[in-house]
Amino acid sequence: MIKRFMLLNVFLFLAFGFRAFAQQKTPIIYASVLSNSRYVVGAKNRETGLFVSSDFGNTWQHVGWKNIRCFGMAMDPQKVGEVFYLASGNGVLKTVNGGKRWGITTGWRVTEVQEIVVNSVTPQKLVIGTPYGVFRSENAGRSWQSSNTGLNTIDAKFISALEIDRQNPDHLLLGTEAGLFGSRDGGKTWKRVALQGEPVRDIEQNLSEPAVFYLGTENKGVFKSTDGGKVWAAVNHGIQYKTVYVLAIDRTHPNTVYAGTYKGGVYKTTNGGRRWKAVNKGLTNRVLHGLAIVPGQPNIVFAGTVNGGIFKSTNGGNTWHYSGLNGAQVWKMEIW
Amino acid sequence: MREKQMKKWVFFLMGLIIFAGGIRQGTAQTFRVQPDRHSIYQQIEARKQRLLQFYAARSTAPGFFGAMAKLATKTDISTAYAFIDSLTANPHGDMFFIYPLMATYLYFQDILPEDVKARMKSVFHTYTPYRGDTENHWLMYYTSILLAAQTWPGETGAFWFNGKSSEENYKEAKSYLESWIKITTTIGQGEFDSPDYGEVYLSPLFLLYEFSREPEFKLKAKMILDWFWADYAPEYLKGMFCGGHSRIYEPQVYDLKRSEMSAYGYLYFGGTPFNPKGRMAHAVVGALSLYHIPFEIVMAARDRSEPYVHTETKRVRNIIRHGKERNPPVYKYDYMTKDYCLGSLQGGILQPIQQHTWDVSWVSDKPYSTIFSLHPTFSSKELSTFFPEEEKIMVEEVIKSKGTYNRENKWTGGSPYEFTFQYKNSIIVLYDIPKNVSYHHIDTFFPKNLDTREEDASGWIFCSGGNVYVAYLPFKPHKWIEESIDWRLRSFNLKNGLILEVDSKENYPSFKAFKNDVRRRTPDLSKFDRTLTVQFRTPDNHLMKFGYPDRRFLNGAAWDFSRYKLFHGPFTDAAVGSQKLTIHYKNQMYRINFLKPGITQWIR
Repeated sequence: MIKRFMLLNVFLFLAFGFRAFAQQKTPIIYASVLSNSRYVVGAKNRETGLFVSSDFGNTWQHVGWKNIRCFGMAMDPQKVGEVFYLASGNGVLKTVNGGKRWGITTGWRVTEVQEIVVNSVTPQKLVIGTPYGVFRSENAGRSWQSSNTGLNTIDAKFISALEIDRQNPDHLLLGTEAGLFGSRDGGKTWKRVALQGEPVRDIEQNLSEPAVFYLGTENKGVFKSTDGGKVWAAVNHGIQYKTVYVLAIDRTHPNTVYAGTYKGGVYKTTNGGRRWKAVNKGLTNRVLHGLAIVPGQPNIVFAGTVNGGIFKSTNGGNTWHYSGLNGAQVWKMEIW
Repeated sequence: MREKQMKKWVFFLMGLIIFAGGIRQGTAQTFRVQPDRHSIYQQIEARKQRLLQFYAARSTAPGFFGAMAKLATKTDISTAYAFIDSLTANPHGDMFFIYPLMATYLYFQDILPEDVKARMKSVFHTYTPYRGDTENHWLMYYTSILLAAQTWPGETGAFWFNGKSSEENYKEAKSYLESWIKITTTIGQGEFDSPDYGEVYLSPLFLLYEFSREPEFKLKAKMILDWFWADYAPEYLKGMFCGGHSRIYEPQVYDLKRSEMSAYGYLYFGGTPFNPKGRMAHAVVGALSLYHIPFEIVMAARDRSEPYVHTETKRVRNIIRHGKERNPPVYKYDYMTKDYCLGSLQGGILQPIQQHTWDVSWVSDKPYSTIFSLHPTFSSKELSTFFPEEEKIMVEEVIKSKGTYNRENKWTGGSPYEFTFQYKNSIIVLYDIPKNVSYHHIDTFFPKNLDTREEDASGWIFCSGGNVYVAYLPFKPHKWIEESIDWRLRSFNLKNGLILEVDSKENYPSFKAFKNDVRRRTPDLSKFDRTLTVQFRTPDNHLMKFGYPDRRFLNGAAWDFSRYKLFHGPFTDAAVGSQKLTIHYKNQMYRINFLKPGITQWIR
């Protein structure tokens, strides 16, 4: 009887538990690709859009539209793997069945969408950043409203970065060509926060210490806030290349941050930005636009390059090796 | 007796009037008598057939234009179907694919086999076209979507590639097209007057006009098509699209009759030989159309009996960074004669990469009948003003497809350090190039096949070609670089400039007389080095004073661009913001009114 019970347990584990275990332990890595070697509208281009790896970057599969310039991406946190959004040239694409079928949720007024965030509490609420300002949806993309109160110049309406506060989803930070703006009402209105006149390229929240934010700029390197995004200070000691397109924060060791730069490759800090060190061994393309750290396995880091595809490190950035998508201009990387 | 004498006088006077009229008409080279409408339209039909026959015979590789030509002329129909099969099996080309696909479907829906039509329809289920990032892309894309949604109504989002129903797609496409019509007819086109992209406006507009089923929208399509032709016509000279352009490529920038818009000019305006060496394929769509171009527009393109000034206002492409205004105005000025056209934009960067700021082009049987200058410049800032990708990587990206963009020898592109001042047949171009840019020189294109090109002790360079004389004064030392088809005048001073004057040969008894007249009016350059200001007296005795970048005075009065209308000249008239355009030829008037959609015609 005991034997039978044990055998049944083994069977159940093999049938369901292992699958669940495997699913939990095998992260899905997503890369949005803007172009692939060369992109000419109307020409026979190589595949662009969304690429996925479920084997730690050994292989990459294309998912969805084959010919789309894809900037950002976001997942519905309550329906991970099912409901997924892409910020693209054609507008906001959405799938509700894990990528089997995609549709455009936006109309002609929304174009070249750079960033998208999903409200973690109310996932029907979406905010997107475009070169023409911010748009909001409160019904999971069925309709969109322009939302630019406080963004009064052409540069302030050019959005490169958007971050939603995971503790308070009504609090958003907006990286524009004219500096950093913030909203306390879910993106309805915006106020200038910092870095007037300095283009902001990426904003990341430290999920382990939610009051801590980092941002990357076009010309002035990395800035850090420890008070929820109110006050910002430059943290650039050791960074020579100060065009910072992307940042990634280690959830396990919250003082470890990676910065992807223009021509300077990757910089890493292990003390919350007090000192940075270039970590580029094996990285043959040093223009970075995507970075992602595997949750729970912080030594595994992926770097998306501009026109050089994806690189992977298994030792916290000490060395890198080519992972795939040769020639791709990788705009963003995420791991869910 | 008195009556008899009176009659004699009357006859004598009438004879005199007719004789005088005859002399006057004798100088009007293009048309001596009121042209025969019937024959004009007959000629248009003949040219359409010629173009279709050419493509029907020539097309051997799969393409929708070739397929359409074969189907239209009933030439090798099986190959046409094979083309469509091949194309629909492997769709690519985004809006450049779906718009000719819809054209093929709609023009030939009555004869295409059902299985072929089904495959064409299925493209909108399986293929995911990129919408593009420029005005022409969007016009092609939304025209295709509107017509496809209209052709296959009632389809749900499950059918359509984008998940929207036919009704949703139709509504969105119509909304965009209405919006584009509105901005074009209020503040002007953004991707304006492009010899290389004009055809991908005309061709979709033909389709909208031919196949829109909503009567009011069909009327608007007819009106905007008329508008577009009326925009082109006053700047057309025997196959050449004259004046400044938003976008043009090489070699069309110096071989003016090779562009797609020359092909469209050939079809609907004539006055130029069939040019199979040129780019003509998109014009197949126009050759198939039943569109009836208004007589007044054809004559605006052909009647060059009197010289005229024609001005336009356009708009800068959407500025998304580094600007204070989304669409600042572009001001165009053309001086058109039967022999040449001198045309210009005000200068500065008005469009990225392929702007053409000014030129003089003349009627000639030879190619390369043009002179123009530019400062070759490129910058990530220029590109990021208009495109959303990262500023620092943009030049590298652009040169992958537009390889001349960062070259020192390029012949296209505007410069933020180049400004013009034109009055009739004289133009002053000034440059103030900063040290921190890549190239410190300006180049001027002089075709090698000019009849004469000689440097004068006075500093002027005198040229003759076609039926024109040209005088060109470089302000600073220069050198000549011999190239395959041209002599490149290169000058290296950062503060630089030139004056060009052009005239018809018939206005002077000899080349010598022209040269003497120009020498007599030597410009005042005494303040140039200090203030970048120059004065020049035109052949008809007007004093132009120009200080870089925007201090323009004519006879002491400030030149006021803000007075420019959307169109103004002897053939077209429209106020900025009006959405109304009047086209006139002699006493015949044709008015397009988008505020109260309709066309009115009357005799003045």
